[in-house]
Amino acid sequence: MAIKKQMTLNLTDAEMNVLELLCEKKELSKTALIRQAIKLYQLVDDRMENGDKLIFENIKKKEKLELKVL
Amino acid sequence: MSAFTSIKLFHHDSSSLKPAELYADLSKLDVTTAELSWQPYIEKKIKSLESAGTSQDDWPEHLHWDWSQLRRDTQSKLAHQWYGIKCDGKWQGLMVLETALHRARIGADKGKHLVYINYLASAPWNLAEFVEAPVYGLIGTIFVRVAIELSFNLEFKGRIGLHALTQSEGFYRDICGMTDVGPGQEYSQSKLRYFEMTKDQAEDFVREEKQ
Repeated sequence: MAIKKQMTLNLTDAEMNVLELLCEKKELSKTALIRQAIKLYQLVDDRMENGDKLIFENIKKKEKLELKVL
Repeated sequence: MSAFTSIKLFHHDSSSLKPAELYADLSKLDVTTAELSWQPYIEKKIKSLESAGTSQDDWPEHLHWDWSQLRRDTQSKLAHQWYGIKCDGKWQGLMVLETALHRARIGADKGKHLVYINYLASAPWNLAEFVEAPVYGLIGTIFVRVAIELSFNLEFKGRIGLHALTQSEGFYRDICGMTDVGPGQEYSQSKLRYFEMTKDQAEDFVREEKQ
């Protein structure tokens, strides 16, 4: 098991509300949800640094939407 | 590679359990060593398929897996975790898990996180499609158990998912008790069938393993 370090996170009410809603929706603790966010952020950032685009596809509606991160 | 956990593999020839090691966080050298030791069996299989005139579309998909490239692609990514099983000084199996991009598709937990088994393979000398007398068994079962354990550790409640190779569908459905969701669908254009283990199925799997 990797050694874990503790940190204090300062969030606005709005940010905390979103965090708590997501935790409830996904049935995860705040720590687990933030860990997921870091993993996803790293994957997306690496792909974009390699020149890839971030595209959301709705197969049922046959729609594609590029999320422009500038 | 990091510290290992002691496990046991089933030795077919003696019908007994043999001590082995499960490793996490495999190094480049570990993966290359496994790949080099598996390569002669894979090349032999490819030659036999070519001489039989089998279309490449019908070849087992894992013949094309490039483990070294996979390791480069997933290096330093928090979302990917590598595992390997070693016995007799040889790599008997490799597995790559992904923990950020996939969500449950079935039941009440639809949309919640799961551990996705990206790649799972036994060494060719453990597979009946490569050799007449496979050496070790239980590799797939141990790796599925590892994926479930990670899922519990990440608060995913044991949920796991994967796209199964055709020859492995029976294992995931009948031995592991996973739900056969069907080919491709929503997240993937793959022709491979998607299998998912719900939290209840994960608890059943762990309970049966302990018995």
